[in-house]
Amino acid sequence: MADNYMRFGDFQRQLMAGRNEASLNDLVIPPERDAEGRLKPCVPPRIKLTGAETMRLLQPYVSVRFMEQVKAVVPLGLYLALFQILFLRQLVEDSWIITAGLFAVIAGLMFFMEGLKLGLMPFGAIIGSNLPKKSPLPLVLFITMLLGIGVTFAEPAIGALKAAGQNVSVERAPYLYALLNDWSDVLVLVVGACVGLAAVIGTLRFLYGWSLKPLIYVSMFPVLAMTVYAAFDPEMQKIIGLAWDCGAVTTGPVTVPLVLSLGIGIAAAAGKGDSGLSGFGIVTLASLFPILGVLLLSFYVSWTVTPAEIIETARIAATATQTAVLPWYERSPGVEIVLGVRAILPLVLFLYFVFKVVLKEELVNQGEIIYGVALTIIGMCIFNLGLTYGLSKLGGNAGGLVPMAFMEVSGMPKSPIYVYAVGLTLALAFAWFLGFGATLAEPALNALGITTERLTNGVFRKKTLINAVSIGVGCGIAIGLAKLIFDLPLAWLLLPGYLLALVLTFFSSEEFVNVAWDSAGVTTGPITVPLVLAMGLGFGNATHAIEGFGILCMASIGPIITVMITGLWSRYKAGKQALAATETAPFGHEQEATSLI
Amino acid sequence: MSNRDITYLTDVSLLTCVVQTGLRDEVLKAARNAGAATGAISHSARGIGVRERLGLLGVAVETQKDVISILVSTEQTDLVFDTIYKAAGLDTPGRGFIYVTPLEKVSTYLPESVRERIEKSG
Repeated sequence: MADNYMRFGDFQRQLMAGRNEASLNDLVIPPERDAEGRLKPCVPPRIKLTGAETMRLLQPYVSVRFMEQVKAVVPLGLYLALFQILFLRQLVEDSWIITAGLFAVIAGLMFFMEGLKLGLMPFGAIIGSNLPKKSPLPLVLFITMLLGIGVTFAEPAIGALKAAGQNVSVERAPYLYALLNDWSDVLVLVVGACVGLAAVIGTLRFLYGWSLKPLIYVSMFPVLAMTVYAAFDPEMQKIIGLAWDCGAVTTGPVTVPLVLSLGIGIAAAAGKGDSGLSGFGIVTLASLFPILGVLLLSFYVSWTVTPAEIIETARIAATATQTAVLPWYERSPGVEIVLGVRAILPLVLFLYFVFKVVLKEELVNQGEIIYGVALTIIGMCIFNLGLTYGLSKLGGNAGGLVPMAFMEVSGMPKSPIYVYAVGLTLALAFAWFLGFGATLAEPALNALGITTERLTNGVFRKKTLINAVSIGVGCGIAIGLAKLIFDLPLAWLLLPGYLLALVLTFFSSEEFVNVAWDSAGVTTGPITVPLVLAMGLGFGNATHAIEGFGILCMASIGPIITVMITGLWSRYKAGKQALAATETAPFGHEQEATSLI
Repeated sequence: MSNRDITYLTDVSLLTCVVQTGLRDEVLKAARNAGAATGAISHSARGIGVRERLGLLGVAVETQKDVISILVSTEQTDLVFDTIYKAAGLDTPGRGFIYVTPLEKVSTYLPESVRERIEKSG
């Protein structure tokens, strides 16, 4: 080797100006000994941070979580606003209030999700892993059932149903009005009980390894039968949309992880470790059962009160509210705050009760959990405010304006803006892209995509699934809108759709059945649901449809069909390739350790 | 053709970097840019300690950590160390830490071309 050799490290060290060394020995606290020379346990002092350091610590913490929600809300809001401005040539009404409302949605969801992670999920995880070991199965299932009710009340999208109820005209759809106003708490309770039942059956399914297919057949039969029955009753017809939409509303960011952690815990305790499929099924059942529950409830309501009575009560209530000044807790923003507290607190108390009394566990990190619960409640209150002033208003406005494109809307001098066919196409394209875009951005779908890719050994790519689901939702929302425009009876759209889904289910393999039916549930998050609901109602009011429900449930059936068709097609393709034996086996599992070469 | 000889690589150090989840790819990219081209592994871990001592502020520290271990030549060590330190923003509270461990020897499969180069220079 050459003589003038210099180690690169030495060269580096020359550049090391500004590097200090300190011995860790100088930084640690020497342990103290007591009189007999034994070590005293060392209590490390609290780390004190200066104001600037605290800021630097908190800044990334807040900004990451904030941006997560911004990414979900802002594109949708912009899309709606731009569509109004560019295609409908209308300025967004109350744009400042809506902007503030959307900001509240972002902030509220940020607090809510963080609070959920810190305050509620630890309970869920510990209860899920310990309860099945300590208690007999019936008690565990009973607690699962109650949990289903609790999480439904805590679901942020449920508030959207109540908000939607205010826009329903009592004369045109009295039972719908009654269910959403006078009976709204009962409605949520029934939906919750159905989610609870779904959780119990889903858990039993993990435990005994039942196939999902017969469960789907068995639960679809009464649902479809009752829908047909309701479709022949002129008053009950108007409930179908709500009933089917309830199924889509239930499965959100609170229900899915909490119920799943308990279900998986039970399966694990029984020695049925989580196989790839164990997480699935609960979401499917939790979106099917509420349909049944709501239909049953509406039959019950129709037997107890007559439409005339409802209209009468509503009129009395309306005059009463005009004369009397409402107390603070029944006015906005008081009512949103009360609703927020009422949604979260029962669930927290229930979880705490199970934790203390049934499990007899001690809370570790009490401060953190209290902080998390407080954040959840604050987040829920802010989100509710944002729901009223931001999402519902924006969706309602957009829904009310879109019909302008192709038909005359009262109070809008320039309508219709376009020739009928062009305007109609524009409106349907608007709906399609709204559904497609909103679904593409849904984080839960991304997670489902990763699971699916692993489950099918890479045959079904994550991107394929996301595209299939998004196209399904887009088509679903467009069909739902068409239903409102042409006033098609929902039952005759749902029935063929679900019959097709059942046929496809029969031919698909178990994995695809699980993924497809679950994908219907994950697509409807806390932002999409209120927006689409409000849009449907606004649209329905503008086109003088009787009620604006039914769009969400079309958005659920869409992906079920597209995913299963894609699944069958990819299996057909894979079969052909296997015959030709040209392709090597696709890549297997994602590796735990990533190697970088 | 299998070569039963074992080549020991010396002058290797192990850089271990513990960061919040999500920073892994940044760390790997920084390491690669600084010339640490091979031998990186990552695993997930839970961090404990500082959260409790910060009190309520501790919630800002993510417990879920990625541990990234990278093999580097001793001459590269300082450069890669500094690059990762800056790229991962380890001068921000709660982000993580990095340390170096000297390794005695490392063996792995060496491509033909590399073996030839060693024989020529040695």
